[in-house]
Amino acid sequence: MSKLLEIALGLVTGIGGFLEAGSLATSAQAGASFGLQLVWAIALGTICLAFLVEMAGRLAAVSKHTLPDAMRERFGIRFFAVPLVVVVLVSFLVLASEIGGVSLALQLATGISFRWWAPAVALAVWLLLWAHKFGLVEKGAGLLGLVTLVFVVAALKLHTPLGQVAANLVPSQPKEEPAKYWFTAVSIIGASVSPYLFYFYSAGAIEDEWDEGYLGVNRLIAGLGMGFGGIVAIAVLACAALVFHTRGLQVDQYEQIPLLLAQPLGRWGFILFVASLGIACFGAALEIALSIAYLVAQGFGWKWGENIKPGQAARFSLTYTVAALLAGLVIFTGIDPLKLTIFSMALTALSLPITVVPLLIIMNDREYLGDNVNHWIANAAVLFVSVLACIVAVVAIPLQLMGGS
Amino acid sequence: MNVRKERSDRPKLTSRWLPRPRLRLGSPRSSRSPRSPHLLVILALITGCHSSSEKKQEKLRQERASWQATAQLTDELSERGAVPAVYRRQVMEKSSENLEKIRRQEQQLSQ
Repeated sequence: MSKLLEIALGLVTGIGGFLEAGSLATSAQAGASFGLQLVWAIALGTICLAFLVEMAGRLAAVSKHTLPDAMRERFGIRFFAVPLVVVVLVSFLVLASEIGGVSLALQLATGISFRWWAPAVALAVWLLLWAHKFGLVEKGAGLLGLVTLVFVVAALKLHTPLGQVAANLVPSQPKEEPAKYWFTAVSIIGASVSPYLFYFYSAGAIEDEWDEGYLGVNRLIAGLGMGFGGIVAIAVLACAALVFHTRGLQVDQYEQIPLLLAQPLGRWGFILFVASLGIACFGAALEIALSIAYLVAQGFGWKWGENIKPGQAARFSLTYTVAALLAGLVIFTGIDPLKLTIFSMALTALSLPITVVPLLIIMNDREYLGDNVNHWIANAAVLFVSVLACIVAVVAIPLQLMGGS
Repeated sequence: MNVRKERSDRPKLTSRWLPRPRLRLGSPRSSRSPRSPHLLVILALITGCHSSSEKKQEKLRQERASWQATAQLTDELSERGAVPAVYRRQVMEKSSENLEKIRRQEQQLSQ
């Protein structure tokens, strides 16, 4: 019974926690600019994420190691420093994007500029992490995040052509603006496969004291939770395709995005959009701030844990405090949150091999996983998507920065 | 002694791995140096993909149409009561701000 509850909660958290600033912004931009053409990028990113999350959970359940722990032990601190720095930097940018997303939601509701909301949001993130335990942070954010299912309702109300969605699961050549097309595709993959997600998941499995008996639960949560989460992201893309693309409306600013729910659902659509953006980004901000602290503390061998008092893991608590407050300051400078979000996602895609390849090596090491090492399909799928996303990012990011087509 | 022997057994790297002497300008092979094709491809990509004036104009036209559509849709939804006044005001401000920016860029391009 408790395992069933665990599965249900895990699924809910997976679905509710899937959408955040990155996936919302990239899916909306993709739908507005290219219609349903980029559905494949969300599907590819979701499949890759499901594999990675399952691996991170399996590693924790079998070896009782979190990902950074195992990486430091297996490769040594010198090698580990590279993914550590890369993931912390990329995650910090994503954290700033999420705080920007919450601040924007508050701006949309009140008319007061997002800049002024950013410090308050950062403070609220810190306060919640400081005062509450892991279960509330993880499950609470996931449960509230179920509000994002409103995008699925809107997509159904707009009579999304499901046949066309299915047809676009196969990648196709862009009809126009190839640089923007590929840049958006890598941003979507980066948004789906953010490293903080699987680092957070592996730390969560240790906090929840998983053992080998949880391998089935882990597989279900990773597969179904992420799969349904991917469907929510596809629904955002479909809404943008049907409301924006048909009118020639491109998404250049966050302020345009609420229209995609207000059009099919009226006033409630607007309210639920603001709630979705605020809750999804706030939940993600909590997870990323914690994820950065987990990574740094586990990497340096400090005492860590969200279930112990902050004073007992002072350096761990200090890390998420500094991360949240600095990220709030970045948004306070007035940087465009949408541009920051999209760029962070593309950088995430660029950094994927650095974060994913060491994980794959560990996942094939019998000293850590015994008979539960990776199947070749999981190795091939994750390696293929990560390297492909990195190569496309190397080409598409400079072209997009040059304003090329 | 063994170490020395191992060292002397190693293949000589200098001939294979050190950079080749530069070809003199005007030499018949200089235009076909191994780096040239890559450089040409990169240059072609950059110049071919970099926005020309026409492309920039087309991009600006699309951006203008996009902001006009944003303002129109917001107006329609506001009339239906689907969005609050505080939101309508924000979108209209952003829209006119961006349309003004686009107008200035179009002027610069036409000069």
